[in-house]
Order: sequence, then C-alpha cells, then structure tokens
Amino acid sequence: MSEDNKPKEEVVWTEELLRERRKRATIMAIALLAFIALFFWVTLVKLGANVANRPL
Amino acid sequence: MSQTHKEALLKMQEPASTDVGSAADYIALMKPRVMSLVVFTALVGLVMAPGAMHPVMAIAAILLIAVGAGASAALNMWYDADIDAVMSRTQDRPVPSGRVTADGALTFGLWVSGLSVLSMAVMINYLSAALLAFTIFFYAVIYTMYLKRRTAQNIVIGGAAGALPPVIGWAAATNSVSIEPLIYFAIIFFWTPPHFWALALIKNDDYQAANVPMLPVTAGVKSTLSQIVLYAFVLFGVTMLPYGLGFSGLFYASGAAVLGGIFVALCLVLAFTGEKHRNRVAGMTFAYSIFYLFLLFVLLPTDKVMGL
Repeated sequence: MSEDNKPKEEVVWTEELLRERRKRATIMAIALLAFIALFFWVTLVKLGANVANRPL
Repeated sequence: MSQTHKEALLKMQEPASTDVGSAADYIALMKPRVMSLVVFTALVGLVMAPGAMHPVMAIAAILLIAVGAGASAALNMWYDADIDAVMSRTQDRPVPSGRVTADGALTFGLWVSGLSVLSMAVMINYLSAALLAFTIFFYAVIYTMYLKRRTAQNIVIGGAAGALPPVIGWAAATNSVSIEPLIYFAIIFFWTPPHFWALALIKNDDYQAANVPMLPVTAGVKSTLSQIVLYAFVLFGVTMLPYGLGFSGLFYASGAAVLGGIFVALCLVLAFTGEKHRNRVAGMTFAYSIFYLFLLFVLLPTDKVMGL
C-alpha cells in the first residue's frame, strides 16, 4: 500500500483539545499585541522629542 | 464561540497531521532553558558595552535575540524529529511525540526567525540583525542539518552559534564589534565541548542508537575524557583573558580562577573515575558547567560595577 492510500489517523476534537486551541489563540493574540506595543514604544523612543515637535 | 460552531468542531474529524499542539508545546519548541542562557549572556554583552542604551531599546534587543534563538530551536526540532524520537532525553519533544506537526514546527520557526531578524534591523541596527540572522542560520543549517550527523566535531564548530549572543548584545548597544565581545564569544565557545561531552558520556547509548556521531560514539570514552580535560584547561586560560587584556579587574580574575579551578579539578576527577561511577561524576560535571558559565557572566558585569 502506498503512503497516499494509507488510511489517515483522525483527530477527534475533544473539549480539552478545543480548550487548548482557544488558549493557544489567546496567547498568540496577546503576543501579537505586545509586539505591536513594543514597536510603538521603540518608535516613540527613536523619535524622542520630535513626537511633540511636529506640524499638526 | 457559539454552541453550534463548537458542536461542528467537535464532530470534525481531521487527519493526524493536524496540529493539536498547545501553547506550551510551541513554547517547548523554543527550548526555553537554552533560551534563558542565551538571554542572560546577550544581556551581559549589552551591559558590558560602553555607553548607555535606552532601557526600552535594550529590552527590545534582548527580546528579539530570545525570539530569534527560540526560532532556531524550533527549526532544530523540526529537522531533528527523527533522531529525537529515538533518544530517551528528547522523545517527548512536541514533534516526535506528535503534538506538533513537522510542518507546524517548520512554519513557526521560519516565520519567527524572519520576524525577529527584520524587527532587529528596524528597531535596533543592521549589524545586530545580521549577526542574529547568521546565528539562526549557523545553528539551524550548519549545525543541525550538516555538522550534527556528519562529524564528531559537531558541537565544537556548532558551539559558535551558542557563543554569539553576547556579541549580538554588544552590537545592539554599540553598532560595532570589538575584542571584548569576541573574548566572551571565546569563553562560551570553549565551554561548549566539555559541557556537551559530559552529557554525551551519560547519554552515549542514546546517541549510538540515533546514529549521531558524538565524540564518545566515534572516538570512545577514553579519548572523550582527555578532550574534556584539554578543553577545560584551554577554557581556564580563555576566562583569564578579560583580566589579562585589562578590561576586567581583580574581582573577576579571582572569581574566574576559583570557578575555573573547580571545573578543571572536576574534569580531572571525571577522567580518572572508573566506569562504575563515571556517569554520576559526568552528571556533576555537566551540572557544574552550567553553574560555572552562569557565574562567569555574573562576575563580568559585577566587576564592571565594582570597578576594581
């Protein structure tokens, strides 16, 4: 039997697996938000006083 | 999530190639224990650099070095899943245990590598970004894909990847590389072989089963022991260089001499220990080597602060 014809094992999405997946998505979202915040913060530091001193 | 959506998901049957890895599995992919040593040595490189770096920039640099190191670890776990599955120390890792798919680990490693290097270039400077990219490439490609399965010098040459973080930290702070970070590099570089070979002595059967040509497998235990002693002596000499070259004081030199003396003594004891107790002494040598490197890198900034 070739690799392609092998019956595939299946994952049953139990409550616990779903809970883990939700947790993973939440942590990923938090990490992304933290990354955005870090970018913003570094930009502020780089611009320094020029942040306030710009034409509006 | 709505009840219907949840029920639909619960009923969904997916192939085993589905990634069921939890957040903890993805964190494990990044080898957090190795990452902690990387973060620490990079931080010391950054602190030892002349001039003051803005704390926000320093935090960003250290975070990005940590993330880059984690990404290269994920790529290592992707490629090494076959040998990890054979070895008792590594068979519960996320990929060989089937919790994270090989594709999942590869995708994660590539994305996070790219993100860390690009962010380093944008936020910090191009030199530190280039060094970070080189470190990831060296660990994931040169060490993992080439050296590890081909030569007993795998961890000697591959050790360069683990030795680069203080250089990246220094480059992040100064946008340059000088002799000091290169000495820190040399300390970790010469520390790596005796550290890993002590572990390889204990896990010799594992490496043999996985066909990884670690020194005890290819050259035998006796030769490994003499190499461990040789490297311990060389390491002792290298750790004296910061004092010899005048950029660390007497406080560092005396601390490094005591710690190094203990390490050399332990390696000598290991070399002369009979087979019966060898694994126990090798375990002690391995554990002490971690403590030794950690304290050496504590001594460097402490000495700088004390200014002796």
